[in-house]
Parts: sequence; C-alpha cells; structure tokens
Amino acid sequence: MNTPFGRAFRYEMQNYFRAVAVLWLAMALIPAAMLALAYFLAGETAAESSFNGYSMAVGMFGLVLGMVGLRENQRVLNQNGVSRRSAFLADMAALAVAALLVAVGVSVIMGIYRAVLGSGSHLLITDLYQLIYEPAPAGNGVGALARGAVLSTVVGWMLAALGQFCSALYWRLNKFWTILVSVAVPLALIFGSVPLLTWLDTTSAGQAAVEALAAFGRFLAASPWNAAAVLLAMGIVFFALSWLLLRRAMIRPAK
Amino acid sequence: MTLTEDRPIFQQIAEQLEEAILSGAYPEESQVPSITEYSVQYRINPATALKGINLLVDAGLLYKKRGVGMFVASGAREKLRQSRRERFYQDYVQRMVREARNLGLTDQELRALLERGMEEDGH
Amino acid sequence: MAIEFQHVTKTFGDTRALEDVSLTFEEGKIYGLLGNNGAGKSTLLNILTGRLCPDSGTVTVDGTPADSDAALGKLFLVGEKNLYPDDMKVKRAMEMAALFYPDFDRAYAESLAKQFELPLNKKINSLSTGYGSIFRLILGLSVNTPYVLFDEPVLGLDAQHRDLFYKLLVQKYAENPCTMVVSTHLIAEVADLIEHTVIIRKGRILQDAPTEELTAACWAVSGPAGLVDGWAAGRDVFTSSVLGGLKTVCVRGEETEDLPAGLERRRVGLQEYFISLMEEEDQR
Repeated sequence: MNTPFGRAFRYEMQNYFRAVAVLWLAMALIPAAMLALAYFLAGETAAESSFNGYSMAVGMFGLVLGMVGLRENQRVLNQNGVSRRSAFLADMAALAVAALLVAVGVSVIMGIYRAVLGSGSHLLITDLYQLIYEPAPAGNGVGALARGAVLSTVVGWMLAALGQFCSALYWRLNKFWTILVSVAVPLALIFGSVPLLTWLDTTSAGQAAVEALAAFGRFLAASPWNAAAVLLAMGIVFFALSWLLLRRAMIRPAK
Repeated sequence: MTLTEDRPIFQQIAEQLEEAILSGAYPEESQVPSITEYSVQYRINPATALKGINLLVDAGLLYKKRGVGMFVASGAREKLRQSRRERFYQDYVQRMVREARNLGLTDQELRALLERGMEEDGH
Repeated sequence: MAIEFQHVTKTFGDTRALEDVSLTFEEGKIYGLLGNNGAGKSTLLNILTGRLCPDSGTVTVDGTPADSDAALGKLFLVGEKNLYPDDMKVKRAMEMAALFYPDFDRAYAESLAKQFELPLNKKINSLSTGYGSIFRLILGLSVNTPYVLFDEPVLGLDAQHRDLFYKLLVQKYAENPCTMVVSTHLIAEVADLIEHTVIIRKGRILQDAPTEELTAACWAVSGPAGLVDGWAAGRDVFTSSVLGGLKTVCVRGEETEDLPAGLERRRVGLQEYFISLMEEEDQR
C-alpha cells in the first residue's frame, strides 16, 4: 500500500468516505421522516406510503461521484507525484469500494427498517431489485437484501464510470464543442424521440429492434447476475473510454 | 560587504576574506564562516562561495580541517602583506601615474600631491 | 542521473510553445530557466511533470519517462497556479505531502509557515496571490525530492519575503544538494544563485551554459561614438545604445587586451546580458 497507487487510493477513500457517511445518514433518516410526517398529517388512518427505489440512491451517488471527482483528483494527485494512470486506477478502485459501502449500508438500513416495522406497517419499503427479481414476501429476507446490495454496487459503479466518462468528455472538448454537445444532445433527445418511436413502431426493422430489446430485457430480468454482468461490462467500457480521453488531457487549474 | 556587478562574485568573496584576514578580523588558526554561511548571507550559489574560498586555499591562506571547516593558516597575514606589496606597484602606482597623466598633471604636481598625502596620514 | 528533454515540440493551436527543445538538468545544480512571459518556461515544466503531453520528443527523469510514478515521485513542481481542491486547507495539503512524499519534512514546513506568517488553517483558495505562492514554495522547500522545480515562485511576494525565499533556497541547497530549477523573469534577483543558465525565447533555447561562462564573455564598452565604432568594428557586437555623443556597445568576447584611451569597459550582469540578447533577437 506504499506505492503511489496505494496512497492515491487511501486519499480518495478518505474523501469519498465523507460522502458515503452522509448518504447513509440520509437514507437512515428519510424513511423515519416520512413515517413521522404521515402520522403527523393523518394519524392512525394514514394511507400506506411507500419508499422505494433506494438502489437509485446508490446509482445517483455513483454518478455524481464519478462526475465530480475525476478532474479534481487528477489535479491534486499530479501535484503530489502520482501518474495519471495510477490516479485513474485508484479512482476506479475507490469508486468501487464507495459504491459497495453505500450499497451494503443502505441495504442494512432498509433491512432494519423492515424488520422493525414488520408487515402491515404504514411504510412500505421496496426497491427496484425486489420488483424485478424477488417480489415480497420472499424478497424480504436477508439473502435478497444481500443480492440486492451486490446489484446496487454494480449499478453504482457503472454509473460512476458513466459520470467519469461525461466528465472526461467535457475535459477534452473545447468551448465550441462543449456548447454544441450540451445543446445537441438534449435537442436530439427531445426532437428525435418521436421519430425514433415512430420508426420503432412502424417499420419492420423497427419491429425487429423492439423484439431484440425485449429479448434483452427478458435476459436482464431473468436473473440479477445477468444484469450485474451486463452492467459490469458497461462500467468497464465507460472507464476504458474515460482513460482514452484523459490520457492526453491537459491538467490545469480550475478557473 | 555588498556584492557588485563589476567583478565576479567569487573574486569579491575572496577579496573580502583577504581583507578580514589582513585586518585581523579572522585571526590565524581561527575558523572562517562555512560555505553555507557565506551562501546564505549573500544569497549566492554555494559553488561560487566555494570557488572564492578555494582561491585562498590554493594560495595557502586557508586550510580545511575535515569535519570541522575552514581555518586561517598561520602566517597567512604575512603572506597576504607580502603579495599585496608585490602588487602595490601595479594596483596603485601605475594606475595613479596613468590617471594623473590623463588629467594633465605634471610629474612635479604629482610628487607634491604624494608628499601631501603622506603628511596628512601621519608617519 | 538527470532530467533530459530530447527534441520536444509542443503546439497550442497555431502557437509553437516549444520548438525542438533539447535540454539536460543534471543532478545537484541550481538552474535558472529564464525567459519572457510566454517564452515556453511553464510549458516546459508542465510537460516534465506530466500535466501536458508533448507533440513529439521525449522527456525522461533518470531514464524513466515523465508522467510515470517513478519519475513524478522524484519531482515536485511549485507551479504558478494552484492544483489543490478549492476547499482544502493548508494543513491538509501538508498532510497529503507527508503521505505521498516520504522525505517530506513536516516540522520544517510548519516552521517555514510560521516564518512567513502563513496560517495553517486557511483554505487554499482564500489565500492571496502572494500567500498562494508562499504556500506552494514552502511545500517545495520541505519536500526533499531529488528535483524541485520552481515556476515563478515569488509572484506576489513583497521584497522581504522574496529575500527570505532566496535565503531559504540557498540554505536548503547547501545542506542537501539536489537539483533545483528556478524559472523566473526576475533575472537580477536570481543571477547570483543559479549555477547554470538556460535562456528560452519563443519556444527555442537560445543559451544553455554555466552562468559564469555567459557573464564572463560579455562586456559593455563605452566612450565617444566615433572611438567606440572604430574599436568595435569586426567584433561580435550584439547591442548598442547612444546617449548624446556617448555610445555603449555590448560585445561578446574575452577580456584580453587593454582598451585604447578614452574607452571604458565594464562587466555585464546577467539581466543586462539577457535584455541585450533579447534585443538582438528582436532585431533579427
């Protein structure tokens, strides 16, 4: 651990851990707050509220960390004698560990809530993982939680890679292209979506594409490990693309 | 001593050391400042300070005690006086004569000035 | 054991920042990297420390390519700008230096901070220009790597602090010889400190020689214009200036013969030499 990579990893973990702790705290408090609010507003007759998609929190967390950390880390690590490559690898590893910590922590918190509240409580805590793979009541066990945590970790890591890729892309683009991309992508999504959907619906090629997508979706939904593998591969691809972009980027101070 | 630009720095260091030895400020067998002290004091590169000090070492005016530092050699004062005497004619007399001639002073005027100088300084 | 640049070229858009630069920084010397603003000094140092990639050419540190852990671990760049995160405190930056540079002298760094009156608890981005420079130069003086690079280290420093910095630099070098490269446009201040001078102009190396060699081979000769012209004919004159009937020329050459009557000669300091050299180049 006394290599530049090891030291960089240690530094990044020290940084990321603060964010991890904040997210744990938030995830611990929010359901309680929701419950309190429900009782406060409607008392015993409160309708069931649900808190779901907590794996989304892990995903967003990963995305943000990936986006925000890249340039800042490369700068400060370069100043302290770490090569781009080692800094990048340390980032990849630290993001993985951070995603794991968040995923496990959040799963534990949710598990505790479920156990404490029991079934038939006014707060239903579910997650995307459960909806797709292991619906309640079977999906309420520890095993399901653990498997969910693994998938959340991979989601978080993959989104971190995506975030890094976006950050690296903007790093390399000059002002003109930055503006162009920032404008063109949303425009394409807005104005391109309807024609795309029409194409998917009406042409035979489109129909075939829809079939393929549906098949892919079934594949993903068949087992969490399928999804994990695909996400892992996507993460690796995004990280690889980030590396290609950042290899020749200019490390300069933030303006 | 402040450093000037008109002569190499190492030479100025050497000259300052020689003056200090002559005047007795650095007595014989006493230690002179180290290279580091010279460099820091004058904000100069240690290699330059070393060069200046080495001039005196080569002339036998300083010697090095391993692990301790540089010391003034015994007899350095006398040696310096001697070499200064030898250079006196060149450094002072020749220059004075040339300058006097430049200014158009006659030899007689020059001699009168010399007499006056000797008197004013006391015997 | 040296830093070597071999035929390094770097272009930004349509500006040639560095043009076929080959240079060596040997171990144990203080180098001056002198040049005007925009000459390429920072680009050179940024390429060395892996912040920029050269378009062509190679840079090695003790044989290993720059921008590798092995090379970067032996360098520390006291840059013009701050690469630390906005909200990082001075104290934390020192902790980082201690973590990443095993020979970092934390106690020494803190004593320097006291000398310069730099508060340790301040956020780096809240430091003034001068104190930003002070913060970085304290790290550079405490890090004890084989190569320490200073890029305009005294930007924003008052005279007293500048003097203190030079004093500390010499002291550090005298006690622990290492290679120091001081890149600056304040030439007169560093003239006596640098053992070897590299002069860079518009991306090209103009001079790369021991300082003493440059200043010993350059003289300013002045006198009545006619006399000066007569004497200077056939010599390597690189600038001349006239004030009324008094003409001064800067010539390259050894001080060998006596001057004819009426002419005076004096040594040219490094800054004057540099300015004259730039003027000569401007006129080309």
